[in-house]
Amino acid sequence: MAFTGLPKLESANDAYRLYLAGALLDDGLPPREMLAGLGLDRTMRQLDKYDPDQPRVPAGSGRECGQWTKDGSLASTSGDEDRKVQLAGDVINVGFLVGIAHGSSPGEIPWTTCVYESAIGDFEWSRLGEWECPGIRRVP
Amino acid sequence: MRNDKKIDVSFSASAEDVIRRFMKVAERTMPSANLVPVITWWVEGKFTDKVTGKVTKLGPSIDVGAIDTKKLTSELVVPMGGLKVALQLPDELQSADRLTFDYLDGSFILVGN
Repeated sequence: MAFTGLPKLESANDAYRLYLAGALLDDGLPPREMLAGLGLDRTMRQLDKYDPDQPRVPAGSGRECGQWTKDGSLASTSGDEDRKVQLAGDVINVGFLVGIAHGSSPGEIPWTTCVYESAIGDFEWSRLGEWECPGIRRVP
Repeated sequence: MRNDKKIDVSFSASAEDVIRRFMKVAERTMPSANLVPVITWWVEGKFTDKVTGKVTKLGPSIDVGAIDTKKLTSELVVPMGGLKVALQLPDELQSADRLTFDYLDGSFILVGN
């Protein structure tokens, strides 16, 4: 339970709510929907990544023993893993749109600036014209 | 920005590979969104390193992003091996007959007339 990020049970109401949640899960409510209702996005990401067949770091490897891994080597379990993929030798990181600015001056072409945040830094990209900014973009 | 002209658009194998890999990350990151890849033209950019605070100027460049299909407006949408790709063409390219996108040394480049 501690790994789900749920708070401690501090009252009889909490225990009752937990009982109801268990009953809903037993009746077939998908865990993702319940967590979404609770606003536990980070936990959802971790559950999305859960694969019982995924290899773990073997015993005797120090503190990381038993952690999930891609190939038996040590691997990060941070949320940043959701934002990059490594195939064929190079990594693709993604940035998330956090702001859009449109501007124009009399007699000039309007412009659009899209602002992104990524795990490694913040980006601002501008172009001429009025455009929809992609919600996600590749980090070069 | 409306584009009614028929343009023959194609992607090199390396460009298609990058777009497909990017979409895997995008779809995993936003699983509830209905995303399509979109090719965008940037005039200029700025990157601020999260650790050092160093600011680097970027661009101009062509790059790939993902956009919810509900936000598509006047984009040209072309097929790429079963996947639909949206293009936000700048005015300069509205009259092109053919465009080929390639991916070389970490950047998208445009080949064509």
